[in-house]
Amino acid sequence: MSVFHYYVVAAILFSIGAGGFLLRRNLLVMFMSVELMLNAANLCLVAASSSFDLARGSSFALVSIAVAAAEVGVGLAIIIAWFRLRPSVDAGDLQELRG
Amino acid sequence: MLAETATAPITGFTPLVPYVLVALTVFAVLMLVPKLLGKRSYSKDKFVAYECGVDPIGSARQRFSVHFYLVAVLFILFDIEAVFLFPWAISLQEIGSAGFISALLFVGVLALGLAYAWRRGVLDWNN
Amino acid sequence: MTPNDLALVGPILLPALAALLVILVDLLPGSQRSGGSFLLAVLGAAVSLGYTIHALMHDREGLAFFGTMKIDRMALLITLFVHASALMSLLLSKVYLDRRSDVEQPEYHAFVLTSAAGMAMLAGANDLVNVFLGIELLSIPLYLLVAMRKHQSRSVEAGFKYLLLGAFASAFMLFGAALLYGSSGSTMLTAIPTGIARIGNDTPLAAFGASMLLVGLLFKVAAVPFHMWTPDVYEGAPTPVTAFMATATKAATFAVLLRLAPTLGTALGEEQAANLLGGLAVLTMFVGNLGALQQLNLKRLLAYSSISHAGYLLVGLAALVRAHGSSVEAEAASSIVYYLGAYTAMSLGAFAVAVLIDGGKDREAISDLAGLGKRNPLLAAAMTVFALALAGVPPTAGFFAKYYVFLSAVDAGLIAVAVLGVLASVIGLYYYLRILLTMYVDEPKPGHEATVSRDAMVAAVSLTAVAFVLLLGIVPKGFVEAMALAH
Repeated sequence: MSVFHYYVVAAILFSIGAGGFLLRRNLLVMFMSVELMLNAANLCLVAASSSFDLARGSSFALVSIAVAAAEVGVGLAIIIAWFRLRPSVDAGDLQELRG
Repeated sequence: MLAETATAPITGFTPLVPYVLVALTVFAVLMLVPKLLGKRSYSKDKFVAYECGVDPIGSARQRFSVHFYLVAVLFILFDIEAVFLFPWAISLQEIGSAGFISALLFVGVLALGLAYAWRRGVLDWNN
Repeated sequence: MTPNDLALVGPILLPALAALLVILVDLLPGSQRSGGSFLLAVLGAAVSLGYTIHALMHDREGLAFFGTMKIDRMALLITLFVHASALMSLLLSKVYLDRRSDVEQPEYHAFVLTSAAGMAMLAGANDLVNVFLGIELLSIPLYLLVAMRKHQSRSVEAGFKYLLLGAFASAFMLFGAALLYGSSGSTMLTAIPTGIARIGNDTPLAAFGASMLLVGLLFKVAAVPFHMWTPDVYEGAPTPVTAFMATATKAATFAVLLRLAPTLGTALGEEQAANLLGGLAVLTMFVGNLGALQQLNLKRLLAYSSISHAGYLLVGLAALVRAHGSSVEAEAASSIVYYLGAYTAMSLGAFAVAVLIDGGKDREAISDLAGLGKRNPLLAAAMTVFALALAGVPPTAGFFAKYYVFLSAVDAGLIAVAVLGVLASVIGLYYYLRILLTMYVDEPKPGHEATVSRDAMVAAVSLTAVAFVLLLGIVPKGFVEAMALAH
């Protein structure tokens, strides 16, 4: 078991997230997939941090968790605003702007 | 280094195996014996939700007030921001007054955010 | 945290403080509807701008916060563009928002300032943590600013698209940063190349990390193939916000790309990294210019134009990576900074005209410009200057910006990229000239003439932009020397 095993798990998590983002059409699920990707990156940071015996990566992970929370807050607010205008959470309905 | 920390805790848990076996046996016996020996009777009244709750009314998929979402979003924000305070509390000895002032400023900005949400009536449940 | 640290990062702290002040004043009873937040925000942006100019003139440069922030000449120049853009955008938003009642003004102003703080932070970031924080601090308020008109589905849809794709790109960036940290043992941008050479050179980890970080940053500057969101978001966002995000985001993100160039070179190999960036630059220039040809909406046209300008800037970046260690490196770096300054002025100017002719109808058709040359010759002349500058016609700033970028590409040996770049700008000439033809030759369709609002503030913005576009173009040498970056 080396730090690379952690990177592999993180890469799999990241790919699941990216796949979910690209394949699912539900806006909330897409948003959750992005969170999964961010957490894969956090796993990577913490694993690297402990392999170097430095706290730098772990504190980076803490920062990114807090930032992700802010992003979720904003994201949910915009989803609510969208839902008030048009009761649908399907990504296919985001199509007023095109050309 | 990671390899050691990952595998080391597992070795101390061998006594758990007999415990799990005993637990499964007891569970199986307790489930099987009444089934074999017990008396069963069926009647219409046995299927009424008497004293076990009430009959469901309507669909569970009703809409919730948007207030739940607003409060939930605010909760997430203030909850997660506490993530910074744990490492800060642990290392307060080393980072000294500069660290203390930084944390005060941080909490101050959060308080301003809370005050703003309050003023805009987000916390007012009856609105 | 020493007082010196705080003085160095003043251009970051001041707009953030101003944003907090705007929110605080809005809390006071009776402050709603008084317009105080606008004055406060403009004051905050102006003070930040003044502080940055002061720091530039007195060479207040150095490392701050244990070397995680590097406030050098490049950082200060980029911050100057960012704060100028924020101030101009705030002035533009006055006339725009007063015609529309569906926007919470104090929040709008606070978000512009917060985003400007994030951009300034990004310009000085010398650590992956600060790069990530800066990107998010600039993006999160921008998501909200784009969706600010919450009763208009165009705006909310644009905000949502930007948020979803922006968060997706952020995830790539964070994962890339994590891999770079894992392969170098450091988050410090200046220490990563040596770290990779020491411990991570035998694995593809560093290459993966650098490419994923690059994906996230290229998304922010709207480079092909990560440009899909740009036309929709630029069209749906309130026009002053579009002006701000088109100019300032590009400037701040290119600051990081400049700082990351040695890392890209080490992780991917200098030759390959330069070829990759050069290839993306060519694609971006052509997609941007060809896409703009078929646009009927002024904001969409400017969005595609913005994509093509990201391409020209990438040409400079490719030259920078290719010429690592030689004198051409500094030449390429200052050509990019000059380009960013010129682009900020000419693009802000063009968006200012878009705000002036919109008349509160949310219709930005290019055909509405017809007859503007007769009805309002002054505004038409200003728009002519901006269109010619964006097209790269001498003696405007746009010409010299392109000239210096292509020159550094030739000096770095990327001759094919430079030739293709010139070809792409010739295509670009066509749609900018179409704007001029519409203004001066076409007859206006009745009922669809652009209603020009007479607003002193927007006029001031346009005039300033015209002055800068011409000044940067007439005496480019002086500005390039001022922007010569000590490496």
